[in-house]
Parts: sequence; C-alpha cells; structure tokens
Amino acid sequence: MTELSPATSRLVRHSRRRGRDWKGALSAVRKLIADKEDTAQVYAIMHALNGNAYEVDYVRLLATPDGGRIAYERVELADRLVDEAWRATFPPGSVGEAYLAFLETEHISVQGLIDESHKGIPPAELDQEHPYVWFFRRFRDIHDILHVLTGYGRDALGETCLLAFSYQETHDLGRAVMAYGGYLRAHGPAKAQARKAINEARRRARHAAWLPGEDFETLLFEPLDAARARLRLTPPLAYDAVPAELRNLTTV
Amino acid sequence: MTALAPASTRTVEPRRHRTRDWGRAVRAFQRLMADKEDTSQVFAIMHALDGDACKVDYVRLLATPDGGRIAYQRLELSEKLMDDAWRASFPPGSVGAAYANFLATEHLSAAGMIDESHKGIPPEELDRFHPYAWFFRRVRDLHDVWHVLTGYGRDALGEMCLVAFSFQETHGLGWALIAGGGFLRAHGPAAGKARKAILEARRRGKRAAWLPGEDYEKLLFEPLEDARRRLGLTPPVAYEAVPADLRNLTII
Repeated sequence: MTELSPATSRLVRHSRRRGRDWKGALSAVRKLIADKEDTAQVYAIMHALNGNAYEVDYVRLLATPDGGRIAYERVELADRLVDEAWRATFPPGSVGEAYLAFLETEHISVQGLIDESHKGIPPAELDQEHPYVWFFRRFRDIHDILHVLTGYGRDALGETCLLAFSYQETHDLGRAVMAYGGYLRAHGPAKAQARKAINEARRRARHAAWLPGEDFETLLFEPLDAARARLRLTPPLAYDAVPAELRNLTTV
Repeated sequence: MTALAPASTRTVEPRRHRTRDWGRAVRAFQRLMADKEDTSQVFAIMHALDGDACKVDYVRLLATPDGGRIAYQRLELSEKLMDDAWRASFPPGSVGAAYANFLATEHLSAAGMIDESHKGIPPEELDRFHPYAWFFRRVRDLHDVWHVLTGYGRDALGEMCLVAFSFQETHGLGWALIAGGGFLRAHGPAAGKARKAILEARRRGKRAAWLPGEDYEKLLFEPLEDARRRLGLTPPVAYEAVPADLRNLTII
C-alpha cells in the first residue's frame, strides 16, 4: 500500500485498539444456538468481536455532510423513540408509522432492546459518556427501523439477513460471525434459498447508502417508498422467495 | 511501513480532505507582520493551514482516559471561562487564580479572543455544530490558560514561543508558519537569545503532556506549581534569559 501522510498515520496510531475476545464470543455463540430468542447473547458476541469497528464508523460519520451536526448534537435516539408524543406525529405512510406498526405486531419495544443489550454488555461499557459508545447505542436503537427499511421480518432468516446487511454497513465482525453461522446452519427444504437470501442481504447493503449516517429524526417522517428509493434499498427478492412458514425452520 | 489492519485502512479512507490555502495564509501573514496586534490574522492563518490537524487531534482526544467524556460533554470552555461566579471560586495559588490575574493585568478577556477569531474565520465554519469545530474552539479558548501554564508573557517573543509550543501540541501548520516567521525575523542585540527561546519552546512542547487532552474544569483548580510538574512543563529558561525590555523589540 502507499505511504500514509504523517497526519494520517498519527490518526491510526491513536486509535483505541480494542482486542477481540474470541473465547467470550464462542461461549455466547453456544448460548445463542441453544436459545435463539436470547438477544442478550447477540450483544455479547458483538461486544466481544467488534474491535475498532464503531470507532472507524464514528470518524466516517463526521465526514458526511450531516454527520458532524448529528455527532455534535449526539441525541440518544432511544430517548426520542420512547417519546409517545413525538411518535404520534409520524404521518401516514411514513417510515416512522411503519416502524410503529412493526413494533406493535411483533410485540416489541425500544426498551426491550435496551434491556437485552444491558444483559450482554457491562453497563460500565455500554452507558459510557463516550462518542464511540454513543454511536454503538445509536446503531442498537435503529435496529428495528432497519427491519422496516430493509423489509426483513423478525423470523430467524430475516434476522440473519439483517445481520449480514448490518455487517456490511458497520463492519462489526460479531455480526459477520452470526450471519455466517446462520448461513452454515441453513438446512431443510429451503436451505439453498435461505443461503441465497443471506448473500443477497450483503449485496443489498453494499449497494445501499450508508444508513448509520442518516438523520433518523428526519428519515422517520419520510414516506417509506421514497426513503427506500433514496437510500437505494432494492426489494429483498431472494428473502421474499423463501416461503414464510419455512423462514424460521431453515436457520434454527 | 507494515500493512495496516483492515479496520485502520478504513479509518484512513473517509478522511475529510481539507486542503491548505497558502495564498490566503501568506496574505494574512503579511498583514500580521504589518500590525502585530491584529490577532484576527493569526486565526486566518491557522484556518488556512490547519488541514486535518483538528480532526487528528479530536480522534487522539477520544483515545485518552478522560477524553471520551470530555468530548461527549463537549462543554464550550469559553462559556465557563466567562462565568464570573465560577472564576471567583478558583482557590489562591491555583492555575485558575493565575489565569484570572493574567487576564486582569493584561486587560484581556475570553470574549476578546472570540471576537478576534470571528474576524479571521467565517462564522459558518467557526461556529459549526461539529465535533472538529468544537475542538478548534476549545484550543482557542485555552490559549491564555497556556500562557499561564507555560510562563510565556504577552510580549512579541512570548507569543512566538507559545505559538511554537502550540504547534508541537496541535500540529496545526499555521502555528509553525507564524513561529518560523518570528524565528527568521528575530533581530537586534538579543536575536540569538530570542531564537534560542523559540527553539526551547518547541522542545518544551514536545516533552510536555498533551495539553488539549486535559480536563480544564479540574486543572484550573490545581495549584499552579503542581500542575506544571504533573504536565512536565519545565521552566522557560531561555525565554527568561532575554531581557524583558528587549522581548518586544527582537521580533518586530
């Protein structure tokens, strides 16, 4: 590779090198395989393996047109998303409205996601007043919005696809491990179709805009279809082709 | 150099490429030489030549033990420093007391510095809601605190020495241009001693702790001598060897 300018090599040297905890990740993977609903293990895996990913993403955020302001304001999206009065203002057909409908039909809540993440990551790490950790929390809080934008459901295959998608967006190795685990464990009559869907998810993310850099407080008010078009989110054809009743069976 | 880890190469990619505007820098430098009191030209020079220095320093701040919290809270130091009630609480002998005393004897104020910076840098750049711009404002607001810590006066030579010191702390190329200019323009009976003082300033900056990463809300309450010792700030021997009545003459 080419020689780096002094400023850049200084930047690299000062990055906070977080080692990867493969042992911790492995035991969390075992627990997750035993109980697919144990979301806390998902966070434990990411925490063990994400290394410098969110640090790199944060610096990337600062280089986007809106990112500097977003980072400076550092809104905790979770606080906004639990605000009933604010949620009530989402117009019909908007991303926000689809998001609320998703939460309701799946019986999930923002608070649930936060609680699970606290079970998987020590609070001293997760609740730090640190820009990098703020960025991690932000990505946690938008998970269900990404479900809506990408069109992946909450079945096992949909979650695996969203992991593959978000690996491509964040380069968090924990997400790759889980997505690849799902890929390897695919079985049954729809095995090949499921694997195709996971590959497609990664490809879609590569093609799409960089979602962590979006201003979600604005995005939630955008019409869903217009937002998908703007963010270059193509329809999940391979995922939709897997029969709905097989989506839970193939990767579990 | 050795190959970088994938994460590090990605850090390098999304750099905000700020080019250096040498034409503007030279014009501002000429105006500064014509009127040494025109501080706004100092800011114009720094702004023209800063490049990625603030960005690199901001990322460096995030890697220090307290830096993440400081950046997350992103306090505007100038607001604190203009708060009379807060300034009145500095204990005798503290850095803060020496700072308040310095402002009083030199007839300076934190607000004066802000006004000068606004004359040199367009407000839409300087007042941006952006972590990098916040960091720049922070270093600006610290300038007079550094006068006190380093022991350099407000005479022309003292400013040159502090500029050389600050270059070593921030690597903003504008600082180097001003200090280099002062070095070349030194003349009169104390020219040799003045050059020695500027070189010493740079050496002190190299040896001292990284001052932008300090928590000034604590530091200002620390006894001045203890703070200097902790930060590795040795006495400015070469600067003090220049007779006080020659310090203004040698550079201008």
